[in-house]
This record gives sequence, C-alpha cells and structure tokens, in this order.
Amino acid sequence: MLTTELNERLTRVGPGTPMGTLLRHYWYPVAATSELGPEPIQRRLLGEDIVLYRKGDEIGVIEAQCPHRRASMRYAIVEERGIRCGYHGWLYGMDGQCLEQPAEPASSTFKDRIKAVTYRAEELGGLIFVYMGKDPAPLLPRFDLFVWDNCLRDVGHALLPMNWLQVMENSVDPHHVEWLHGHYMNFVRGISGEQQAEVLMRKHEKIAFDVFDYGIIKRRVLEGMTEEDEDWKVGHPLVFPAMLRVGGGGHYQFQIRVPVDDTHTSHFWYDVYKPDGDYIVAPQESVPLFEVPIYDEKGDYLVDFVDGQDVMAWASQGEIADRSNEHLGKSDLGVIMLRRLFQEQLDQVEGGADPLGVVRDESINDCITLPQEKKKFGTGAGFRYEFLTMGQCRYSPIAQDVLKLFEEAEKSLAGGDAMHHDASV
Amino acid sequence: MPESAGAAPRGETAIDDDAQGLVGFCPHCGAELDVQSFVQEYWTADERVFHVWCERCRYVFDVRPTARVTTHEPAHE
Repeated sequence: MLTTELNERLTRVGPGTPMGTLLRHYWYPVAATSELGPEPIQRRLLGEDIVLYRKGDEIGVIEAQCPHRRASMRYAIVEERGIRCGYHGWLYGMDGQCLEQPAEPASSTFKDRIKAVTYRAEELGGLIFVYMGKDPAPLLPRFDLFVWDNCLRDVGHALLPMNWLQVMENSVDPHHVEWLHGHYMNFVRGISGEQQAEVLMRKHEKIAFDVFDYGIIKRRVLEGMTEEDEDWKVGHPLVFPAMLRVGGGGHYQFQIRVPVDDTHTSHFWYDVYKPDGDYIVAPQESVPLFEVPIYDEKGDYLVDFVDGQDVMAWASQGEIADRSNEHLGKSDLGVIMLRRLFQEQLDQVEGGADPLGVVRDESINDCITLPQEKKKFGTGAGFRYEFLTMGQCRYSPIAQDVLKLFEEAEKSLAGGDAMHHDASV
Repeated sequence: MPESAGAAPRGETAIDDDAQGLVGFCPHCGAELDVQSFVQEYWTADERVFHVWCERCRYVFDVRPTARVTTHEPAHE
C-alpha cells in the first residue's frame, strides 16, 4: 500500500502541483503533424486546454479561451501576424501579446496590457510536441525512432480514461506479459477460436531494473533462457517520465503516455518498421495516424489484442488507482522503483535542478540511441509476428505494407540483392 | 463505457494501519518520513517490508517489522 497523501502527490498533474511541475520539464506530443491544417485544433495537456495553429513553418500554441470574453480560440482566424479570435476579432501574436482590439477606440492602449498564455511547439518524426514549462526550454530529444531514415512509420492513438501513472507502472511490470498477453489472451481467444499466443506466454524466471540516463532499463530471463540472451543483456527502457520503448525483430515502438489531465491519458503507439536486410524504403509523404479502438459494440473493453488488454488493465484500476488499498509483492519491485524514482525527481525539481532525462546539450541531440533487444524473447521474428498480428498494429492502414517490407527484407538477406519498397502512404 | 473500479471494501489480507506512520523516522539520519519521502509497503511471503527513501539524507533502505527472531542452533561438538 501507499498512503493516500503520497498517491495524490504522485498522480495530480495540474498547474502548481508537485508532479505537474516535474512533468512540465518535458516535451509531449499532442497531435500528429497530419492533423494540423489551416484550421486551429484544440488539445488538453497537463490539465490545461490549449489551441494549436500553423502559421507558415511555425506552430503557435495559445491558451484555449480568449482572454477577452473566454470564447474558444479553436474557432479563430489564423493570420500573418498571429491568431484572431472569431468572436470579436482580438488579434494575438505568436508570443500571446494582444495586437488588435477592433471594437475598442482607435487611441486605446488597452491591448498593450493583454497577453495570452502561449507555449512552444516543435515537429519531429511526424508528431507535434509541446513544452509547457519555464524558460529556457530544454531541447526536444531526438530519440532514434523519431529521426531514423529508410523505414516505415505509423502512429496509433487512443484517448484513455485513466491517470497516466498507472499506464507507466505497467512498463516496469514484466510479469504481466505472460499473464495478460499470454494466459488471458489465450483464454479470450480460445472462446472465439482465434489463434493462440505462444511467445507471449513464456514464463519469467528473473527480472531486473537499472536506472540510466533516460529512465529505467528493464531486463528479464525467461524459462529456458540465460543472462547471455538479449532480454537480459540489452533489455529495453522506460523513458522517463512518460514513454516506453519496446519491440523486437525489426519492429520498434514508443508508447507515449501523455498526461492530458488527472484522469485522462493520450496514448500514442509510435511504430517504426526497420528490419535488418538490404532494401530501400521510399520516404513516406506523411506518417499515417489511426485510432486504436478500445471498446466493443457493447461498451466492454476489447481484450483480444495486446494493447486492448493493457488498456483494460489500466482503466479497470479506476480513474486514479487507489494505491492505499493494494497489496504489492516482490514481483512488483519495478513498480516500487518507478514510484521512488518519481519521488526522488520531485525532490530534485523542488531543489531547482533538472530532473532525469532533460536534454540541453545539442552535441548529443542529433540522434539519441536507446537500447532495445532485437532477438526479443529469444526469437525476434516470433515476437514480432505476435506483436504485429495481436497488437494495435492490426488496425494500421499500412499493415499490409509492413508485412511486405519484412518479407522483402528477409528475401534480401537470403538472396543478397537490395530491394526497393515503395510505400509512399 | 465500462464502470471503473471504485473504493472496494478491504479484504482479510489488508492491514488497517498507516504504512507511512509505521515507519515514521529515518533510521539513518532521524528525519521525519513525511510525504516528501517515500514509504512503500510490499510483502515477501509472510514478511512485511517497507521500502523507504529518505528525502533528507537520500538513504534507501528496507524496514522489516520482526515479531520473532529465529536462528539456527550451532552444531554440537
């Protein structure tokens, strides 16, 4: 159990809260690049409603309610000098300074005393990231999956009805894989006569967790394997504070858990398909975005695929899990370690220092390579097959292109000729 | 939309006390372990453990409340 008071401290993300202050040291994706056209879009991040708009090559982010009469800036006019509220035409520059108030007397200086709240935005890898913290802003980390070339990408998304911390705790809970995605998966699939999971069923013999520069590396030894296998020697990381790196066999994935507010999480599955082999992938015109369904037609959670099972487990703990009424065992030490790490980083931030993983050194930011097993669960291709066919990737609009890419890559390894894969989706 | 879990009644395995209060002070520096520190209960078989991080001295340790101290008997010559 955890005390109610500490649970509150670790889960509340709004402005002025300890965790909200810690989380405001990082950049978060709020939309796919393809979602922002000529009209503004509205999002909520860390309990604040914001509106994003595109002005040439720049992206503006402004508080969602116009400082004048609180109408939504989602329905505003994007202009050369900034964004103009659709209600009475007040114009704001990219820095939030009010530039025009058309209905006020021409000699009025009222506009000089009005400044809307604005934030920074940057695009990377087909996503739009927003930073809501203090200046100077840290660099947007250029993690490998966001900057690699010669690969395919897609982005699955779902808005989830629970606090982001219980989603992150799942990433340091290796035992759930063999149960939730193995035994439970096969129970559900057995009822409907669907294909059973095999690789995901493998029993965990040993797990370990190490803090590193960007979070926690998770390691496991599965039954029949040793510490010489990649699952132990390499592992894969929880990227502090809100991301998981996972995959295997040429499939790489970030699961990005964006804290929308105390009880909602915007979940991005950022997939990169880059098998070993000799091939050329034509650049994608844009990274396709697709919604991952989480409910069936009766309103129950969809639990016949990996990510639906995860969502069920996270959401059924409640909007904010009551950790004062839980019973942790030794197999939960990863979860305990993550909570302690958050508490340590809260203290660090309260002392005025940057928390773990904040990047300010441009010399390391061309491409930050994170560790990840290739031969995952002792069989990269077997894990990839189950992850692609029994995971959220099954909803991807480029699912067939992805399978074709892996076939071509395998052929190239067998035949030696470079192949050209055209997937300009 | 499915219902979320609410506050469930406590089961027989639960111990109705305040974990944070049970380990109130750091054995390393003596500081009070308030909400700025970290006290987390977990179980290893029938052994109750409190994993603690002290915010003042940064010490990390486990506390195991012990009702009985057992040891093995030395071999008789």
